[in-house]
Amino acid sequence: MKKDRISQKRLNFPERLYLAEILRGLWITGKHFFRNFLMHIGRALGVVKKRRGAVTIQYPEECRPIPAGYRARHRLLRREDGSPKCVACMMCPTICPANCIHIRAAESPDPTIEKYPVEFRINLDRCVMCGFCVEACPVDAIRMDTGVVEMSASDREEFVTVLDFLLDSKPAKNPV
Amino acid sequence: MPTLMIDDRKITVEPGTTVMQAADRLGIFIPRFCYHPGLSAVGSCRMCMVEVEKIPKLQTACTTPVVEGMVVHTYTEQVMDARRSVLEFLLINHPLDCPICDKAGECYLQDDYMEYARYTPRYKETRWKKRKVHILGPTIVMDEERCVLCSRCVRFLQEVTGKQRLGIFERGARSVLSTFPGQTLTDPYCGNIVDLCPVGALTDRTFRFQQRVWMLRRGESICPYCARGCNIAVDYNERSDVQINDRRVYRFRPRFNPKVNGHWICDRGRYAYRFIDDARRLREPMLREGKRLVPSGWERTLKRVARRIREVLDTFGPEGMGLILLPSVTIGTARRVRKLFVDDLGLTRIATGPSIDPEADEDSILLRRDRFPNRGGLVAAGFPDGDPGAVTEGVLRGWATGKIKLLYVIGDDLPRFFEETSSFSIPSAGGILILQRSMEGPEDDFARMLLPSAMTAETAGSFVNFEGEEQTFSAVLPPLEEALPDEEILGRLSLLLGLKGEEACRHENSVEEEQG
Repeated sequence: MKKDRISQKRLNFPERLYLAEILRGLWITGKHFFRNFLMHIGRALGVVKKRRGAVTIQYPEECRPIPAGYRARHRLLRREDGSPKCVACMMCPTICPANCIHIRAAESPDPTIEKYPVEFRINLDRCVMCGFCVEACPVDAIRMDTGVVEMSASDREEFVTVLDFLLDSKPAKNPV
Repeated sequence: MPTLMIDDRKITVEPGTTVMQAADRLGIFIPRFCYHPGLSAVGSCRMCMVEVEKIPKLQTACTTPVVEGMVVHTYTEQVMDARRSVLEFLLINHPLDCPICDKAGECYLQDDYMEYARYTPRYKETRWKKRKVHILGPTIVMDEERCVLCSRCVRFLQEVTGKQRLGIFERGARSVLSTFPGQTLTDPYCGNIVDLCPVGALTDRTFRFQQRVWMLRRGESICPYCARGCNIAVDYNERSDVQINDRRVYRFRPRFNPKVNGHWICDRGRYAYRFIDDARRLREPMLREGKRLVPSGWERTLKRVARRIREVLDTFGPEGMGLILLPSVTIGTARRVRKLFVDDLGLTRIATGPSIDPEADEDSILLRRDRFPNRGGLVAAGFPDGDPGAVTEGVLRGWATGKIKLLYVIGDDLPRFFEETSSFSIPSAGGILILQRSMEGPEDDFARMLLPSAMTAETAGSFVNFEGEEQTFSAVLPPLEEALPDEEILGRLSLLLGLKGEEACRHENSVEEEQG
């Protein structure tokens, strides 16, 4: 038998009786209930002004801030002149474990750039948000810092993000 | 026969062999840029330096002939230092273009750098900026900054095709490869210099930026575009886009075969890769209904074909049906045609395509006037040798005059065939034309049935080239959409005609499996 690597804390006597623990649980729930209850009444009467009405987050009106390194929906960066920074080197589709990136390259009119993507699609349906594409990119053209984590659609096609959409996506405003 | 030691391994070779060739034979890889087995050795890149005992300085393996009792070391400290230094020198002006360079993934410089060099660059001076996109010809584009001046391309044009169009101009760090003033690269073999280029300086304009080489899979086939039957590698991608599942062939490259094509292929064969996924490919069997050809599935189409053949044979006898078998089919197909149409159905009006076009270009390198790859194979399968043109003319005349009620044509490259055969016309008597081939053509308008067959890269079989060399190849890709290999189509047809020969039985199983 494989030994269980998680060592469980042994319960002491009052904990093993459970009664005290049940009461402790009720106390926590009740504390939040009455706090929310009183605070909302206070806010409705205009007594409480500065503090929040509730301890919970009112999703979707309210969202938790996203940490800076959080891998959200992708975006593509532009050069200073507005052209895509991507050179269509295909590193990201090569590394992508979900095969969700499709790039079609073409000869750029600018001989110093040579190659640019005419088509760049990410199928978010398949994407596993691993961030390998960001790691693999040699020119820092793709990032996952838009802060957009809510991705829902009623049609599969809507999950396919295309070049212009990715280029126009903005980074998250104030990540924590 | 001198015997020498390379890295403690003994080998005996013919006099005149170079150290490089001896090492290659032993499987010891010596890095190289300018050396290519198909070209003369000039020892200009200095990458293949090896240590030879009793010689104080390092020697270039590609130009040093072997001597009895020679002891060569290819992996000593001194050799590694030389390689590192050569790479440092070559990379002075070579930009790190790997993300945009077509050669990335198969570039010697990239491989060798990872293997031997990883140094901290010492070069502080300004690098030379040269032309990034210099178009040398209709198919070749040059990046001057990436060139390592190995002169392989120059020597190729000089030694193999004999038409020197390229040279290295300017001096020192300013040296560039270019065409002679006022000339462009229009040689029918110049595609080879792209394969030859050890770095990404010369790239193919049709392949450029289409696909990264590590995404391609390589299959081996035979070029079906002239009687030479050059050995080719088919580079393809099974799914160029995972979301739409399309396979695509991206390029043909030569495969070394000293008996047939050596190291090279011609551009006509090289750029024929485009036909495989061409929009003009026939994708499904078609039947004529009224004025239009409608897709109708294999079973229905072949049943109709079999019924028409039976009707014609019953009414007019074997004289009423003609068959043209173009020498673009494999020997296996030819044998099956012989068994089905000659032995079983008793056809006499069988032709094997037009005779060799005397005006087509032919040279002493590879290109042959005869555009069909398997004329010898048809003879091997029991079709008469001799001038096929006259017989074909006869069959076509019979068709034009209405004596032949049903004409069955098997094989590819019909557009060219009919353009050259002026006597082809459509009889008003309502003859039945059945075409079994892989590309659309102008004759489709007259065809009653179209049977899409697979192309050479999609089939297995063998060809006999004009020198009598029989070469067997296997299928690289599955046939496009509904297309089937010729042999399979004929097998199904012979079943429907009620001819259960030995070979037909084998196919019977596969047909049943599909239906079940």
